[in-house]
Formats: sequence, C-alpha cells, structure tokens
Amino acid sequence: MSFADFSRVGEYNEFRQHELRKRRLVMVDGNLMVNDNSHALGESARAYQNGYWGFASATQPTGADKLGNIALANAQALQLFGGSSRPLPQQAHQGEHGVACRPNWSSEQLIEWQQSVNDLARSRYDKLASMTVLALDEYHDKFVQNSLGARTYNNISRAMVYLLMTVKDKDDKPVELMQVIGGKGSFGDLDMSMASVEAQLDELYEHLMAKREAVHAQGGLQSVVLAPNLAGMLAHEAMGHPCEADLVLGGAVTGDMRGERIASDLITMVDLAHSYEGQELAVPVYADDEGTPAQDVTLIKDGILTDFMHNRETATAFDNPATGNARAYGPDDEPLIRMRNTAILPGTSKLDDMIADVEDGYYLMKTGNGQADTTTEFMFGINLGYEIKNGQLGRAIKDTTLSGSAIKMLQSVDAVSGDMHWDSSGYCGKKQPMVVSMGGPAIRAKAQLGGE
Amino acid sequence: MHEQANKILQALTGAGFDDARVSITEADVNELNIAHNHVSLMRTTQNQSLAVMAIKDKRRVTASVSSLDESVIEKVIADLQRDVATSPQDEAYAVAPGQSGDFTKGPQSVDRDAIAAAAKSLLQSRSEEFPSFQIEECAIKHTLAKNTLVTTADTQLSSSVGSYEVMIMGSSKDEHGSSSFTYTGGEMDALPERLTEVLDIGEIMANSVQETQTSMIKEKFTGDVVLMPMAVMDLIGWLTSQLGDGALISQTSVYQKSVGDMIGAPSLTIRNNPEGAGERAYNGEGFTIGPVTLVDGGKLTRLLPTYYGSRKLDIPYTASGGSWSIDPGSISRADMQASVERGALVGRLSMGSPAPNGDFSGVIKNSFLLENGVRTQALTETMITGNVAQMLQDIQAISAEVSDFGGSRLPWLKISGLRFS
Repeated sequence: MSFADFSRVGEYNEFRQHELRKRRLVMVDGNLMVNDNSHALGESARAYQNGYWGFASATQPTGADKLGNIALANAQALQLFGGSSRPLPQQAHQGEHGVACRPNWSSEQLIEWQQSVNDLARSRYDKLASMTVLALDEYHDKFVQNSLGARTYNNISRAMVYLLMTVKDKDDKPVELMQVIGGKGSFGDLDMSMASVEAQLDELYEHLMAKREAVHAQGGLQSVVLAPNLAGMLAHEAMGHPCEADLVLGGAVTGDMRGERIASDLITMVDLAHSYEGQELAVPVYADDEGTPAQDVTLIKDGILTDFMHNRETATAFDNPATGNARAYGPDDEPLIRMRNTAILPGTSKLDDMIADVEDGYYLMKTGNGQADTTTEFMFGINLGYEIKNGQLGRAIKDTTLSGSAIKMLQSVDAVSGDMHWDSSGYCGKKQPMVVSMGGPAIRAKAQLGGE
Repeated sequence: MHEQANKILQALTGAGFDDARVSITEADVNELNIAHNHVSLMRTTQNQSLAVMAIKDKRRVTASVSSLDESVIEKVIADLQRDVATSPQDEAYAVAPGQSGDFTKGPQSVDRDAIAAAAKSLLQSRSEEFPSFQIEECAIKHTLAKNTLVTTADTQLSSSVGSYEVMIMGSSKDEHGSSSFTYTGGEMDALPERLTEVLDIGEIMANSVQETQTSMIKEKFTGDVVLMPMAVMDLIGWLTSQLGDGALISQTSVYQKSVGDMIGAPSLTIRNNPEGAGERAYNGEGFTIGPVTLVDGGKLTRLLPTYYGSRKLDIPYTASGGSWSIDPGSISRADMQASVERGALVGRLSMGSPAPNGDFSGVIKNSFLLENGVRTQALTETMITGNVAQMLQDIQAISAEVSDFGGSRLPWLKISGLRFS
C-alpha cells in the first residue's frame, strides 16, 4: 500500500487507502477457543458538494478517480434536499508517521505463553474457578490524500492481554476480576515476563478474595476517591463525549457553556493529539483522516469549559479551526469526530492523603465499560472498590455503578493527585468502534453510587 | 461465488487439512445519513470477505481477509498451515455436517428513492410534531448480503438477504434544558411512508420532548419498573450470554445445570425469530436455523453453546440465530403503567455489564416516575439496583402490545422489587 494517483472532484474530496490487521487468541481454562487472524484492506473516497457529503468504498482495488466520482455522484444525489455550500477549513498536513514496534510474538509464542499463565494460575491459586487469557493485537495503516494537498501516512499499533480470574463466593456464585497488560506497539513492547504476570495475578487474586466477601455499597451521593486508572474513563465518558462538536450540534448541554465554570479549578482536561510531556502516546494522531494536522484540544482549563473537538465541517459551523479529530475505524467507514488521548492532567495531592482525609466513602479501583450522555450525566461500571471508614480502607464492595452529572461531580472535586495513569485497552463506540486512550490522576469528588 | 468457495475448500484439503469451512460474503450497502436534523451524507460500500476455519490433526485455526485474489488466498492457506501447528489439540473441533439450502429473502435491490422519501418524511415529522427533538444521527440503509458457506462435511449453503435498516439517535433541547439521548433501530423488508410509525421512533420522540425537565427521586425506595423494549434487550442479552460458550466452558454460568428449571416467571416465553427481516436462514457455523423456544412458560429448555462448545461439554447443540422475541401478554401498556403504585417507566438502562451472578446497578434513562398508577415527572440521576436472574423470576406482567424491530419483537415488562436510589 502506498500513495495513489489522486485527482480533484467536487468542492473538496479525499481518498484513503486503509489496512486493518487483527489477531485474537482466547484461552479459557487451557482450551484455545479462538485462534483468529483478520485482514481488511480497502479504499474509500469522500466528496463534498453544496453542503453534502458523498462516500464510496470498495475492498477491490478501484482507484481514486472511480471511487471519487461515485462519492461525488452520491453527494450530488442529495441536492434534492436543497443545500448551500460552506467553505471548509484549508489546513492540510503532509508527513508519514509510523509507530516503531519491537519484533512481534508469533502465535505459537503467544499460545505457549497463555498456557504458561494458565498453568501458573492453576497451581498458585487454590480457589480459582476459571482462568481466561485473551491476547489481541491490531495494526491500522492509513494513507490519506485530499484536494487541499494533504498527503499523510498514519499508523496505530497496539497489543493487549486480558487476564480474567473467576472464583466462587460462599453461595457458589461467580465473582470475577480482570487485569489488562497493554499498550502501544506489539507484544514485543509489553512486559509479559512471568515475574511481572505473577505479581499482577497475586494482587488480582488478593482483591478477588476480598471481593468474595464483598458488601453492597450504600446507594446515593457518596464521597469517592477514583484511582488514577478510573479518572481517564471519567475524562472520556463524562466530559469528553459532550465536547465532541457533533454531539454539541446535536443538543448537548455543553453547547451553551463555553467560557463558564463547569468544574473545580483543580480540573484541566485535554484531548491530546499524539504526545504528552515529550512522550508519544498510545494513539498517536499526527493528522486525521481528513488530512488535517492534529492539535491538542484543551476542553477544560482550570475548571472553565474552553474548546470542542472538531472535524472540518463542525469547525466551519463553529468558525473554529479543525482540530484533527476526524477518524475512521475500518476501510469502509467515513471519518467521525473521535477522541484520541483524553486526559485529566495531574495535580499535587498524594493518593494516600486523599484516602486518609475521607471519613465515610469509597475507594474505586477498577472499571468495566462506561457511557456518556448529552446532559453530561455519565455512568461507568465499578468492578473493584473498597469502603473508606475514618480514613482507612475497609471491606470490598460488590460490583456497582458510578454515575451522576459530570458537571456536578467535577465541581465537587477537592483533590487531584500527582499521578498519571494511561490506558488504551478498550474501544470507544459511536456508530463505529475506535481505538482511543485515556489518562488521569486520582481524583476525590462526590458522585452517585448504586447500591442498598 | 459457490464454485470459488468449493475450490478454496479443495485447496485446503489439498494442503493437508482434515476438515475446513469456507464462507464468502459480498455485501453492497446504500446508506443515507442525517446529522443534526439535516441530510448530510450518502454512502455506497462494496465489501467482499472470505472467512476460513480449518482443522488439522485436531488443531483449529481461523482467518478472514477482504480479498478473493488467488495470491491472497494462497497466502491465507500458507498462514493457516503455519498457525494450525501452534494450536493445542482438541477433540471437540469439527465442522457443520450435512447442511444444505439456497435461500433468498427480502428486497434484492435498493430503492434509493424510497430511502430519500423516508428521510424526507422523518425530517418533516420531526419539524412539525417534535420540533425540540434533535436528530443527532440517523442512518437509513439497504444492505444486500450474498453468502455461500461450504464445509468438508457436505454442507453446501448459500443465501441472498436484502433488508432495509434504520437507526436513529437524538435528544431534545428547549428553553428548559437538554434531555438524555435516546435511540432505536431495526430492520424491515420495505420502508414505510412514515418512519415515525415503525421501530417505536414516534414514541421515543414523543417521550424525549417531555424529558428536558427532570427531577431526582426524593428518597430511596423499593418499587416496580416497567421496562420498555431497549431495556428489555439488556435482560435478554445477559441471559443469552449466560447460556453461551464463555460462561458454560468456564463453568461460571448461573444456568449451567438449569435446563428444565423455572428460570423466569410462568408468563415468560422467549423464542427466536428466524423469519424476521434481515435474518439469514443459517448461522455462521453453517447450521440451518429452525424455530426455537428458549424459555417456555418460564422453563429453560436448552443451553446455547456453539457446535464446538456442545461437543466440548457433551450437551445438545441448537442453531438459533441471534435475535429473540418475547411472547405478548394480555395486559395493555396503559393498564400496566396504571397498575404501578410506586416505580418508574424505564426507556433505557445505562450500566456496566451485570456481574456474572446477575447483580447490577444502572442509571435509568429516558424514564418517568410512576406514582399511584400515574406517569409524572421525567427522572434524572436515578439508579436501580437488583439482580437480572431475579428480575426474570419477578416479572409481574407482559404487555399485549409488541414492538417489532425486525429480528426482535419485544413487549413491555413489569418487574417488581427493584431498589431505587
């Protein structure tokens, strides 16, 4: 795959060649249930004419000219709805940006490693009921050209291992917890040594033993300390989505709040394009799939709502610069406004002190999935947490849900730690899935917890 | 396509594989998108894919690619030969035996004028009847998916399935504020003149415009919920996940030994819907799908392992497809709401995956307080806590009206004993 012959059609057009390779190996209690490779390769074109977009894609080699003309015909077909042209931002990036990966592991190496992890867990943890070891890697390569002169190559590579341990509680009901080892690059870039795995499984099993005896959380508004790996989820779900300009145009409450205080002055939140403090992040986007040079977007600065994330079209609507957030997941997907590396920036408090200062509350450590809303009312599942009583950690709590108005919660933040934890283990869902990363420090606030 | 699939099958056996399954799909999609109350994008996509499962010496490997070029197929087979040697042996690996059929269903060509007309009618209904409702995103599309699936165990299947699909998501905004987002979607054989009359689209719009003014509940209480279809889907999703390979093979399913037991209220009957719009007559493993009653009057009739899972665990296999319907009850939705002393009408549950034992807590969205049989204010920041397995047992009533989403047909459910906070 390389840059193709490209010609202009319509008021604006772009052409993308896109390759997506994935591998997935799932071992449950030593049984290899999935050993799968997938490889999707395709071309797509998008054209803009009189306020409408047309898109065309094919898995067969078709060429920029032919697909571009189909895309233009699709845009022209929409003229029956009326329409008027609005000029799009003119930024255009040229450059090639690959992720330098260490040599990857073969499937044979991975299966042997999965078996070793399974054997280790079986021999080490006497109450273990089930052990799942899932290995997944994926590689996204995109060549993007457009009529403004953009000519970019972007690569995103990541590898992940999910370690899922299940035990039974006193009523013989399953209780589970998961640990993720993952990051940018290939399996060769991860620390998958047995010493590291053993240490992580020991810690996970210790939490599982506590969770077997877990109690229900007290439902309602509670003081909570979010561990650093939860703050990223808060950033992404609670305020990230409502700051996507297409959601703002769709009616999100944030639309009327730019320049207003929506959070404690301890909160600064940024959607980072590719780097943080000089280090390249897990989802490095130097130019998006519209060929726009990607820039950091400060969503909240010292508690004040500042900017939104844009593609070319919403940038025009808001009279703002495009920010490089237009991203497509698969070869047949059109670019949508998506987050990249969204984080709450660290403060100065110490996590231990943040817990010690809580008389009655909860320390929340692990999350599953989350969901945002146009109202900024968010939720995410809590899979591991402990009571805090008089500044000390107490009993584990059963699975619960953290929710509330993100604005109310962020306004209640009274401590932000100096830690910074990054995570890129899941997918964001919004018509298409998307690889994103999220980061943050520990945060203390008040929020709704599901429970008794 | 069929000939090519068999040729690839021959190439796999020629390369030394004992058994194999080959599936080729060609899909053409025409899709119109609405964004922020305006038509925004027309998409046409042409996708080709080849999916292969191959077994050698009781070792299994799978792969998929988006090209049918000879050189690509040769590379796929070479990669499969390399990778299969790395897999552990398992007697349970096998391919579907002796299935056959050639199935054609649904509209075989796209009517782009009908798609445009449907979009026009939807935008008109929104602006005239629900002007404060904002369509954030809507896709109206036609898909024609042609597939052929063959195995070395004499399975020869092919299909051509056409369907229209509509997905809509939006929220309301007025001088009082913004509502939570709401959504619905499903498939059909033909687009209606008025989209608001199908898939509960008119209903979710009508509810949404009343959700810009919300209140929190004043105190915790235990009460009833009346679940609308999007929330009912969460219950069925959890149930079927408990009946599938992941939970069964790890021996963590709460229904591991429950076939024949009452796992739901006596009024609950859950069936598949192989005749539903967009549903293919056979599954991805290569088994034809017949009518299946999964829960019959509250009693669990079977588990739902894959063919591999059934052989691994030595339990019966059922090809069921992925869409489920609940038989209607006898009470009207209006009477169901009127029967609730204290609780909520719940449009959507926003929550993490329930725990393996069924425990969950979730935020109720697009929901209204029910007090003394009357629907009052829209709710915000309200959670319910319970156990999904217990909820199936605690179904008090099932509505006579059923919403048709193509594959799924779902009534409203009244369930008691949920904790509100």
